[in-house]
Amino acid sequence: MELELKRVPLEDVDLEDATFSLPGFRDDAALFQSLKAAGLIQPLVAWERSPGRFTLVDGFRRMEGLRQAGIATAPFLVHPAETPQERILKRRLEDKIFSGPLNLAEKVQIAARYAPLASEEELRRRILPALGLSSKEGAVWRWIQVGGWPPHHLELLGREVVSEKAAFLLASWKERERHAALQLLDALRCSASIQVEILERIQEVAVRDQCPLQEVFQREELAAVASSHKLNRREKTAHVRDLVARWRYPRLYRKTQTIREKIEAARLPRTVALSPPPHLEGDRWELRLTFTNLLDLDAQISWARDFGRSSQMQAIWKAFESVD
Amino acid sequence: MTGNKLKAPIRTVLVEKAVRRSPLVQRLRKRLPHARFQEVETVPAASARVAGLLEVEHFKGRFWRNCPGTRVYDCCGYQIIHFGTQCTIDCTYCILQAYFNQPNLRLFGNTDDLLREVEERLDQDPDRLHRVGTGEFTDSLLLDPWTGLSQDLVPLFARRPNAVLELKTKTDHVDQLQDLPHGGHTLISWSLNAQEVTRREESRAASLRARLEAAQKCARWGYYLGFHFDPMIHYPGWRQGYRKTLDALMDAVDPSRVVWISLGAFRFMPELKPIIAHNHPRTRITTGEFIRGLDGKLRYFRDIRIQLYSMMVEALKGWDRNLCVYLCMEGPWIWRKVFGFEPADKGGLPKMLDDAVRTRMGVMP
Repeated sequence: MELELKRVPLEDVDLEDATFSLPGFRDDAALFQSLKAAGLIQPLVAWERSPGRFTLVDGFRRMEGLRQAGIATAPFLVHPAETPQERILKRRLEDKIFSGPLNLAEKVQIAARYAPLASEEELRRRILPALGLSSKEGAVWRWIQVGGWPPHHLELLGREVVSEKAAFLLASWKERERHAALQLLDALRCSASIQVEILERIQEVAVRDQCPLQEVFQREELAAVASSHKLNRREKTAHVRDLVARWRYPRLYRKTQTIREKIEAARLPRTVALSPPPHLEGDRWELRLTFTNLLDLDAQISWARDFGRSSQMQAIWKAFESVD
Repeated sequence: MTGNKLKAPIRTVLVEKAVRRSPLVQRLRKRLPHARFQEVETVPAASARVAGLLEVEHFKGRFWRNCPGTRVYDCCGYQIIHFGTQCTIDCTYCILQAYFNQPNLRLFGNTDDLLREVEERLDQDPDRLHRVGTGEFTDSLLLDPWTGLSQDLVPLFARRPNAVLELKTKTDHVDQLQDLPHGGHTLISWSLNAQEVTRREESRAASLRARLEAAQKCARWGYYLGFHFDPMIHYPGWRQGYRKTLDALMDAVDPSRVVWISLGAFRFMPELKPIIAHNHPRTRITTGEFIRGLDGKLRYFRDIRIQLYSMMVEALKGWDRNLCVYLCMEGPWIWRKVFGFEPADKGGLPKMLDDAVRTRMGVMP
């Protein structure tokens, strides 16, 4: 059926009906200013579910702007009553997919809403790639789960507090555990890779220690960092990463710290950097010398030779070689 | 299959028509009288394992392969006879879980081609001692009572002055080996672990006791033995756990029959981690202190590996100081800490193992 352009009184639109709503949790201020300055440019879309009663299909934020501005009627493209709801929803989702940049909250809701309307194959091969969401093994199930999160969790996706990779990981977590994780990520606002690193390590600590995930999130040290008023987000992130690394890799952490302390105690000149093998794996240490001229180079090499025989270097080496 | 928990027999055998008359398929038909045999042009791709299914295909690739080593960690120069893929023992740590495209037990039916290629490879390099095994992509003896592959391979190696065959297993499927003319050129080896690890991570494998009883039988039949503590798992109580297994081994076996014992701490490709979590949600095996090694695999950080190995080496050297104990895929820095030398000091790990074959088995080209 063709859409019909009509002028519809806003009071005839059922604002409680969220059948076609896909909240993006965006800041409405700029849009409302635009409405005020230029008016409504594109008509809203509605479905005349019964004669004279309309369900909003597209334009939820503009509808709110119009209402706040005291507008009584607006132009609508109207689906007639006999149009099947499924067809309207599918058109709405297709239109949304290709209508412009979507945030993660919108993407996962589209994926979840599309799930009953398409085969798993179509979701994997067409819908998820079109949305720019990962379509690897098990992805369909995961995005459906994420798309069904409650609004206060989806909002964190919309506000880019939670990355796609972190959301993918959190898809299989229970709601309480996910809530704790999202609160932590909201406090940190860190990069996608760091989000995943922190969550994976916490998850592994819980599995290793055979305790509920919730319990790890509630540990005093972690809660204190997350809720600190003295630390900024960058500092909080650094503290949390350090803390979680200590829990996840207690022996490696301890040994790395000891070697670092010994290197610091050696008070190396600013022109020198000494590094043990990454993760202490292998036998390749690195001593980097920076020099300004040949005389300086000679002096640096001479210093390095002496340092190699010094008690400080012996102490560093001993810390590396010892197995506790 | 005494003592082995793997009771489920093969119920269906899917045979590619090209190999329907092969000796392997003939034996399977005879030894699996209740199984349903179905012939197909090509074994179809599968995305999930079908219980009780065995696929027999006409393999067109190379049967003889070199064990994949790396530049940074010392490799033993092992060679592999590739006779099939997959395993139903389902150890939590098994790399075969990552082979999504071939989830079912699969054997290569064209065993004549396999045996011909083995003969050719041994002929090509008559002055080299070949240490050859079959247990890389499946368990060497899991299906051997039905396939009878050992009936072909063991006598073949018995005739070759320049080669020894190692059959590696976690089963106790050894009765079919009893009367084979092995000529002292075959060693049967078992993967061993602490009992807690066996129970939790290898729950469908034969028990430690069953494996050691099988080893005793093989020793009585004149076979040489090998043992592989691989993967060693670091867990609370690991020291006592591995000590108990060592005690059981030492009680069960005469060390003079043992050609080598390898040690390898658990290591795995990062991609295996989510697969393990999915297939074995209760395991804690990936929550150890793993770092990314120089070959990209995750492995316990050095101190843990050194501790695991040092305890084992001390105990094993106390049992037989001439026993060849080696580390599988480890760096020279770990060897030095554990043994006080690195393989290069002894001419390399392949030479160390060749020497073990010469001195224990008396086999030399």
